[in-house]
Amino acid sequence: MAYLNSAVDVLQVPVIGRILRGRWGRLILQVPLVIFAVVLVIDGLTGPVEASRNLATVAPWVHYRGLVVLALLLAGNLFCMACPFTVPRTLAKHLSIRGKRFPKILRNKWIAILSLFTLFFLYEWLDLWASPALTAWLIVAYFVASFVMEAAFTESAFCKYVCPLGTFNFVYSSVSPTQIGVKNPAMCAACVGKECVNGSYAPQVAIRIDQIPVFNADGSSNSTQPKEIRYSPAGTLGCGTELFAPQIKSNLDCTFCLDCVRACPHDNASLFIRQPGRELTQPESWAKRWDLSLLVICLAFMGVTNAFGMVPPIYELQAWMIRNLGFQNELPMLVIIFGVGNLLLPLVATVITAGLSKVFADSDFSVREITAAFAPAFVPVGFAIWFAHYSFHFLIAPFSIFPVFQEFLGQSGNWAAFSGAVDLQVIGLLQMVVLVGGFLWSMVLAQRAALRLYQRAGLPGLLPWALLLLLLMLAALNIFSMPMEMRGTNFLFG
Amino acid sequence: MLLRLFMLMLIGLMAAGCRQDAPATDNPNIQIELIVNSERIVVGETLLFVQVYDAEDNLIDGAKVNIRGDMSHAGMTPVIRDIETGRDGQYETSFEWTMAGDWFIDVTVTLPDGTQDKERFEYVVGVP
Ligand code: SF4
Ligand code: SF4
Ligand SMILES: [Cu+2]
Repeated sequence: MAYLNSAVDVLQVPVIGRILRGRWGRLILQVPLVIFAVVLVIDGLTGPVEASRNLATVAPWVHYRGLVVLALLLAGNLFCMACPFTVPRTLAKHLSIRGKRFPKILRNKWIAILSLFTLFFLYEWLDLWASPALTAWLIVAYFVASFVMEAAFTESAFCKYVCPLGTFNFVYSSVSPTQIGVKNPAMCAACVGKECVNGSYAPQVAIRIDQIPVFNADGSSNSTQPKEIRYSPAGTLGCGTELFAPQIKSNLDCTFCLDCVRACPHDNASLFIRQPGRELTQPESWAKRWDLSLLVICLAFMGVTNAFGMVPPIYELQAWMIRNLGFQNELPMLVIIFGVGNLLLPLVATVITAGLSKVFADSDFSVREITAAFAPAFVPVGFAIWFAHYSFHFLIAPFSIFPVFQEFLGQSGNWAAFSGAVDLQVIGLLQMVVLVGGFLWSMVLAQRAALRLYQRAGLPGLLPWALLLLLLMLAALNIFSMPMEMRGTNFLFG
Repeated sequence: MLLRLFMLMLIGLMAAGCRQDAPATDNPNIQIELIVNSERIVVGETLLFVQVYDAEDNLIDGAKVNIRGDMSHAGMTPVIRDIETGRDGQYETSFEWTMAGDWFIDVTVTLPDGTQDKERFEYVVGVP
């Protein structure tokens, strides 16, 4: 175990491990979700227009979001693992190896930042949360976009560069307790085909004989033996997001599809238990790029804005903008509120904070390097903000999907039996614990980054970042202490 | 093969997704009024009054009244009340506005002779 120092291989779990590693492992997870997605679309387009009675709104906005953050915290990126939108890649492999590579200039996270921005903006502007039909069309759009990009490019460009759900999961699976790794790095060094990334799929059967090392009990090797490596239509495509198993240090970009595990002819790649959030403490696990750092920081700010969209002050702010700035309709106001809160503010705050940190610590590092060092510290606090928000919606009606489903099937919904909910006060307490916990975790990460980067001047260099993290946490705490309102925003204009 | 199976499933689902339409539609012979017992509607317990009239504006007694309050946003359990007894055409029930925001209340009235009427009322519920 090169990077993980973990001996616990999740895929060695009896039965489940075998199923997951098997050729159809991903499809077994995907098919139920595809069927479910089709059900949502049908209900969204033909069912009741009331959001609280329609699967298309209840399932994604209450249950998906609540469960996805829980899964990220406790297990890993389980949604991407079972993602229904990527079924074409699993089924029609020939489709996925034609085409070109995604344009080089776009191989970064800028589009992903914009698509997250767009999703949260549309959510607020179109009141997706209150509209089954629009949510259904959003699901259709995901299928189309994923299919088109899967067919046009060799890699999974949609997952890696565009998909907002995937991007959210990539960023916050960095807190997860699992990660892809290899059992024996020496095997990888000797591996000829690197099938984990290149794939074992071929339209026609092809066989290659590799000389592979024979390992002694102590891990050394002084002999090799021939091994038949088989490429065939039954093989697996290599990693769709182009990760190389022996070098993986982070869950970023990993969809947990396990294709690397299936493709490796030496049974060397697997999914391992690791210390939760391990990569956040390792300075080398993330590339020092602006797009990546800003993605993580913006996503934390987006968590605040998204929650702000649900409390009374946003209505006051909009009313004020109408009165004093003469706005005539909602679109430009939301563009400004979201543009400032989700893009401009994090950008400006980051540059100022990194600049101050550089000056205070009298450091030779560039602003980009400093930002990259502190960006991982925005993961726990950002995750806590999203977790607090999504679990709120989930916990006030955790079983509501059952009666809605009963009604979908034409029965009468047994609401009395499924009306269980967690007390609002308990949820409030949970939110507070989560936010403070996330903040403290962030502070530990920021402090380590400061010591690593600035050594003796760690404290002054840490100060601006600590302040920014504190402000984020306090803003979120403040918002969650207000009563949430579930209303459309259109009322302002009648 | 898989594709065909999938199409089959799809058709099956289309057929299964046959939600029954609400039995009651607007009935011109019945009028429903919903009265909310407070000036400003805020989160918390309250009383709701329903009055049922016939075409000649006479109050109707002995109807079954069902009240279902939903929020216009996904993810709130509806508040459902059944009122069996009413006096002088007045039907009263306790009701809880469980969350601030946009609500709509569907009142379904079933007369002793089985005729039905359904009416929707919308409210904005504020914080106390
Ligand atoms: S994980 Fe498997 S396929 Fe990939 S380099 Fe290692 S041995 Fe080769
Ligand atoms: S490393 Fe690549 S192939 Fe392996 S699970 Fe992650 S996304 Fe899939
Ligand atoms: Cu919310």
